[in-house]
Amino acid sequence: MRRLILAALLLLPFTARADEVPDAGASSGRTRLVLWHAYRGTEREALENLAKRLNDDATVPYTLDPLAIPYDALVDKITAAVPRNRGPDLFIFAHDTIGDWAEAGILRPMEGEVDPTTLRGFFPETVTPLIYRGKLYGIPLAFKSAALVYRKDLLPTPPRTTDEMIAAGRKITNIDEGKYGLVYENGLLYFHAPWLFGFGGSLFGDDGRPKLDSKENAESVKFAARLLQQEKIVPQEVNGALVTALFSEGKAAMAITGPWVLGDLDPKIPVGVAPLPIISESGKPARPFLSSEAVFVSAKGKNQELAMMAAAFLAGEASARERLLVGKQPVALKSAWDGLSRTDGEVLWAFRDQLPNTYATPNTPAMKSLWSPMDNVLGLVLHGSTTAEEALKEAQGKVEGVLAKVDVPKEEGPFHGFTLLMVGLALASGVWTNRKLQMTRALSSTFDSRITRLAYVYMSPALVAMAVLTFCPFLVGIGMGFFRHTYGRWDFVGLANYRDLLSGTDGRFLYTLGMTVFWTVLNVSLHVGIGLALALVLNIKGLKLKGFYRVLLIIPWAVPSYITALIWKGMFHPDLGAVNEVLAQFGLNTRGMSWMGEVTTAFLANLVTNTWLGFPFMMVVCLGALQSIPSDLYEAARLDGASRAQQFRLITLPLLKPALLPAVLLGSVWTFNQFNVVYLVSGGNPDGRTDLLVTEAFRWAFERGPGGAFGLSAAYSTLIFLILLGYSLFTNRVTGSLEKALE
Amino acid sequence: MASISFRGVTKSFVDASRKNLAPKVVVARLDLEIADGEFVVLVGPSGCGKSTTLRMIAGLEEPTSGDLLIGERKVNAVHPGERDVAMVFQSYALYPHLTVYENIAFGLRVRKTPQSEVDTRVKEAAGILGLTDLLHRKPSQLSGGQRQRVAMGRAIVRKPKAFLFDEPLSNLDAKLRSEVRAEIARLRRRFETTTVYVTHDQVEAMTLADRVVVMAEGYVQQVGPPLEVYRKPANKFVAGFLGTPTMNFLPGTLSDGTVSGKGFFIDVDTRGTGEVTLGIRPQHVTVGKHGKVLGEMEVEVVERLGAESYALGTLGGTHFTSLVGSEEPKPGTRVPVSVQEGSAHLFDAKGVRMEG
Amino acid sequence: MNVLVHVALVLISFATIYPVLWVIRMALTPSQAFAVGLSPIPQQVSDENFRKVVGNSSLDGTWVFGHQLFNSISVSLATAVLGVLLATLAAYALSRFRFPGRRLTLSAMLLTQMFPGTLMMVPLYAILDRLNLLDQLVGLVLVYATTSVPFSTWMLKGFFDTLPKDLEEAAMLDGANRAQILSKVILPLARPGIAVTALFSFMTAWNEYILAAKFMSRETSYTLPVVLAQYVGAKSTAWGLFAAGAILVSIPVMALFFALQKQLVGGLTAGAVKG
Repeated sequence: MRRLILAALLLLPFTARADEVPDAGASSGRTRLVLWHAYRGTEREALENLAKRLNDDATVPYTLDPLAIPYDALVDKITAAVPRNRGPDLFIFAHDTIGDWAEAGILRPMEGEVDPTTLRGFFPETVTPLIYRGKLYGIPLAFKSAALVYRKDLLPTPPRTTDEMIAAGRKITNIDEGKYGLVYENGLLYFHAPWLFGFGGSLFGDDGRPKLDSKENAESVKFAARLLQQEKIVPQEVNGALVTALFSEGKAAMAITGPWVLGDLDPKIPVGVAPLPIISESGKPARPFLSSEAVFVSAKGKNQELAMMAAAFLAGEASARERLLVGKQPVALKSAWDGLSRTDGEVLWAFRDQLPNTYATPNTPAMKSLWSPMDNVLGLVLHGSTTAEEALKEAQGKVEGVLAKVDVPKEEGPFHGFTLLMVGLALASGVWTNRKLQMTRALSSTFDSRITRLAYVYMSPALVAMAVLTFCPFLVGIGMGFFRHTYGRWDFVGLANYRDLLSGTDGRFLYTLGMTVFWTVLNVSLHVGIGLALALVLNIKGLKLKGFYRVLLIIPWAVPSYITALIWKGMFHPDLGAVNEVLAQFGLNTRGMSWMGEVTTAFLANLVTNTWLGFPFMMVVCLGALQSIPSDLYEAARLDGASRAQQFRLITLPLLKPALLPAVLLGSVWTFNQFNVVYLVSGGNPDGRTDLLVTEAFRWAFERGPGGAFGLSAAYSTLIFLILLGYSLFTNRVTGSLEKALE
Repeated sequence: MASISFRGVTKSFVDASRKNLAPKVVVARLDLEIADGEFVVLVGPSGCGKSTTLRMIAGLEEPTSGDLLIGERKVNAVHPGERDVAMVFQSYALYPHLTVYENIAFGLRVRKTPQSEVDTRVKEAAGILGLTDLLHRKPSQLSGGQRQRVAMGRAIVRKPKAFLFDEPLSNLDAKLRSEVRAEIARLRRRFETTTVYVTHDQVEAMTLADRVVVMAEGYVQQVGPPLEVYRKPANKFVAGFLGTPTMNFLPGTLSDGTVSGKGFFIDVDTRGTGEVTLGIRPQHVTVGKHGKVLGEMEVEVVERLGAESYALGTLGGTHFTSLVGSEEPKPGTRVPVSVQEGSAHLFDAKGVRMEG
Repeated sequence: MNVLVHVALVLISFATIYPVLWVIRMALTPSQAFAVGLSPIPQQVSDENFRKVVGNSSLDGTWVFGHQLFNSISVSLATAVLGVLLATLAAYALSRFRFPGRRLTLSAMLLTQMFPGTLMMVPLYAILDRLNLLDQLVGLVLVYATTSVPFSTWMLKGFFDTLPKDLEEAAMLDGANRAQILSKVILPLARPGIAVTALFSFMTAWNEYILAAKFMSRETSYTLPVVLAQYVGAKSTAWGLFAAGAILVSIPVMALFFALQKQLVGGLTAGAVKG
């Protein structure tokens, strides 16, 4: 019976497989087109209404199957799936990644396939971003940009200039009550862009190469700093969550944000939207980034003609009206706006009014490498760590460094020393393996061949599965480290990736390595220390409510860490987070103290979060180990006159060691590779100085380089692996922590 | 039921974790015939290879070379389960998650015996061992003696060709031990099954065995009925191993029918000359002058066992133990000791028994 | 003394669950905004977020949440069963048999814990593509199970090491074959260890979303963490729905922790201490 249940459990996923989505077109012989998008809320509702209408109409030769994909996953998923013919027929996304996608041959060029008169029906601002190297790649659906969102109850008329904005803001701001005139994510380039372009700044020079350290850029950064430091009308370290939170609680009168926020706001709030103000200093309007959301057709789809039809439908009149009216989306089709009066659609119209004064996010692949350096500039300057000019100059250098690294090197660099070292290492490990093998062979005559065969039979399912799904990807990953990746093309570059990572003149690798080691040591010590202390307390004989405490203390382990990490990030906010509030209750002057501005405090925030996440595991390990120490040992020690401290030192610790050492080793490895906490809590701030090796490897793969610097990322990961391998061999040699387990 | 034969059986191990790859010989060239229905006890100090010998019969170890037969069948590589032997482990090895009943029934169940037969046989075995009231308990709810009986029940219920016992009494206290020893003897008479019994306790060996096999360092030292081995130990090791208190060994010189050494002198029947060791069991010497005086011993302690007392001390600088007669010597005094006629054992320089 | 201990424990427990209380507050507040301030007690209470998350349905009226819950449960249970099965067999061999390559296998299993996930993701996608396992729950189960096997094997091996060898020998003499020994003697005795191992495998599958989001391409084949991630948009997050979903996702794991806490405490370390 029990076997039946187990078998049934194993088969469950297969049964789910059989349960296919009923294909609306299958019976009528219509072709099913798959559409990927990242819409949620009303936008998703509108899109699904449209699909339903299409599918119900038997005269349409295709059916549309929309699939909502988490925003985080969509770009990566399209990049991976389309070249393998696993992708959708069409997909919706902002225009800024089309450079990467066009280069990688993912997008079907639409040049000449879309009627020029049709194109003229769209706002030209939404069409031009879809052109890459002279070719059109998508049909615009909607445009997204920030504008000035304000509460009519707090601010009857929106400001027209920045001076007015500052004046209004100062009137409303009351820091003691936690009220601010303006709230926006001032640490992000995306939301800083209105000032940057309004001051006449730019991100690329005339030669098309990144140019960050211009005078105008510096002025804009200083302006942002002024809003925070002198005028004090904006809170510090704002993230998207806080913008919504402050705004909906009436603690901020104005926000620079986009239409996406509207769905998350309580409909009872009197929201007004106006174009961003004119910069008083330059007399030019503030110009936010513009994203042109478009429908793209996969270059690998089987039914591209039909997909083109579907794309045209989605961008067309009927669809645009639905998306405008139901989806509350600022649509790209001019004529659709006839269906929405200014009074009914006050908010949406305001975004439309912003459109002429926007700046389309550059769609060149190099843009990807600018976001995080510029965010760092803002972080540093707003925190007062450095001047705008200096920060920009440094960022410029960093961007050039990154771009130089991701380019495929023209010739093998002069790095024979390193190559020789690697070859030497390879030889040495070969010799070592050979010796081991010989020893094994000498021994194997004494092993029972039947037992050996039986052992391998038992292990084969696990070994085969691991060979295919663990070791194979691992070896491929190591192999990737010897290549450079450019838009789906892989060029063999030998050890150039390692050379470029290790020879960085900024010494960044060593710094990050040091940081990671420090992080690991501190974390593991805290995990073990707290875990052991709690375990000792919970192991007290006759303590009441033991089970109750134990359950509560295990909770951090049970809740997914990507959720709790985000909660902790919110709690570390300088003005609104619970941590500063709690500390202030104890009489510390922490209100408004920034955690993410300094390396030490940002590190501390990460540390607290990860300690919270990690101590329960060690506590459980210690509890188990403590319970297995025979109590007569303590009785004997008491008769020998040992004090409690001595009992702990002479009995508890030595007997815990065998249980703790493997747990510590494993814990170190896990902490060394801890991604969620650092990525979500400090995000590497300030200036990437709290980044760990793993988050750096991730950034190389997904935030830098043409189509992802996967080669460099793989090389980085290989280095991480080698370091951990060295560490475990070393600890094993020193402590023999695993010798017993290996017996 | 069956006989068991070892024909030149050697067992050696390689310790894979050590760098030294020379195999360690645990049992060397063992030749032993155990007759059908015979009760053989393997004795020897720990590490002598007796347990390994037993485990080879069980099939838990495989001989490195030589042949092992059960009945007429060569069983070197036969799976333990197919040998039809039952074993009682030192730890009893009761399945902690099963009740007494299920423990006893386990061997029948895995052989797919019909349930009705399982039931009769388990109840029968339980009846023999007085376990009927305990059948529904788990091993953790039993006393040491009860666990021991369950382990035996598990063995007898299968009616195997041979019983194997691996130090079955070592986890029991002294009183229980003698009770269970008697129980084993009783069962043995009842079933008349070939039995191999491993122990380091000579009382068990003497009381239970048809023949004892004394082993040391992988080699058989002597095989024979217990009394014969006791009376005529083949060498110094066997002489010292069997009998309590341990036999006295005095180094001396043999010449023309007399052995003399430091502080003693005795006439023997053995001819020849040379360095020898004189062995005399403590039971065969008495404090005082009652017959032939061996020499004078220095008394350090007197051990009173109730029925008899022993004087412990030295004779000519060698440890010496002697039975105490009617008058008890005071510790610290020197007293003469007398030896019984014909009780002396002589061992040559290699430790081998010298016959008269 | 005892009072002090309790005061300390209450304080620490409170600090421990404080962040979790925030999740609960956001889930119960109808607004989608991130909650700020000191008190985690919600001002308004409503089950709206929960109803929205649970009631999620697709175009044609399919109860999508139901599918996704079923997916999560079936994938996690299958991962637990498969992971424990593979790990038990391997751990038994590693614990009981001596054979060439044993230490190498054990070390290799440990090494897998050191591979950074970023290194594996790109090739893993390609391999699953070749095996035709993309967009199939079975593919997810295989990936999760293999991910959990090394740790599970180590833990079970440690656990098996503590089980007396006598029992197996007794069973062998009783005529049981290897399979019978494993199923009738070892597995019942290793139950605490197996329960913990299964819990770990279950959690691996239950909480994972990066691979699931990348591999699964139908809404009815999503697992719950993917659904959760959907509430996080490009520039804004529906915190109320996210929190409600997070609580729904956490409840089964908490229940399992609660049910298995005795085994958890003993099971994690049995091997290491007595081994």
